[in-house]
Amino acid sequence: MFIAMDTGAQKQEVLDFLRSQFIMSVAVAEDNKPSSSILLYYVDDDLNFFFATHRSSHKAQKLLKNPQISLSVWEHKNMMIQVDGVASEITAEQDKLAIIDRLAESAMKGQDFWPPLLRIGGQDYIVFKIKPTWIRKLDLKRDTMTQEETPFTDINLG
Amino acid sequence: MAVILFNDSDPVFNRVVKLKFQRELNWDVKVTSSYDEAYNEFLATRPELFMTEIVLNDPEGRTGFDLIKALKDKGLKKTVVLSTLGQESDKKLAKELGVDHYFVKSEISLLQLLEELKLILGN
Repeated sequence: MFIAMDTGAQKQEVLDFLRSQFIMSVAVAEDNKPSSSILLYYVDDDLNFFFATHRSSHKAQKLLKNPQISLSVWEHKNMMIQVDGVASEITAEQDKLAIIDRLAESAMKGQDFWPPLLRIGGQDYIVFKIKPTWIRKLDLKRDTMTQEETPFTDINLG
Repeated sequence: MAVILFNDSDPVFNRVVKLKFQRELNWDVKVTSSYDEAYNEFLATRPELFMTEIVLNDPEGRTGFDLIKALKDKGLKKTVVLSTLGQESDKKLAKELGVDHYFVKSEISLLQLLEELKLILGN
């Protein structure tokens, strides 16, 4: 499979797409057993992702043991973004609250959207930052059955 | 613009509710997360409506009811309880205190809450 390399121009397009969305699918692993989940996210200018969950959740406990994480964001007839990265806990209280503010902003993107995190109950939140090590874009705008040029682009993180 | 004071110790809940109220209804929403913060914010901003959780993580063991009593003495008029708990004894106490409405979080959606608050505020 041929993969195009981004020369830098597509990073902004990816960022714009990610800012238009607010839900990501994430996968974590412990003892070679993967598990996936859906999360509300915020993404900063450097394509770092942030999310909050309950400290007692399976994904939080697994990430604290193994910070390797993979995620994807998808929109029909537009784009899919795949990311591998490393998660780390945001521990400073002020930083946590600043990220929670950003996540609340993300939640506003969906009309009538109410974060499932709040339905579960409990207030022992943990906030993670995901620093990407690899990002790939899949262009889904074409409606032809096949295409000659590759739809994949690896995004330059430099 | 209506000024609303919302008091809940959950930081995520607080922030989402604040933004939703501001965006959907253009209300000026002040948010606090403790008994003392809410008391001081009320005196500073004199909101038209005060909405609070009654289960507060208060070091002195005070509840949202104690807060409502204290604020009633300072001129609080329109009051709403938005609580995790829905015990009849709590609802009875709220009624005795003149609380306009008692909502249980597990029984109401945000949109329903918005509509109810609009009715209470008369807009």
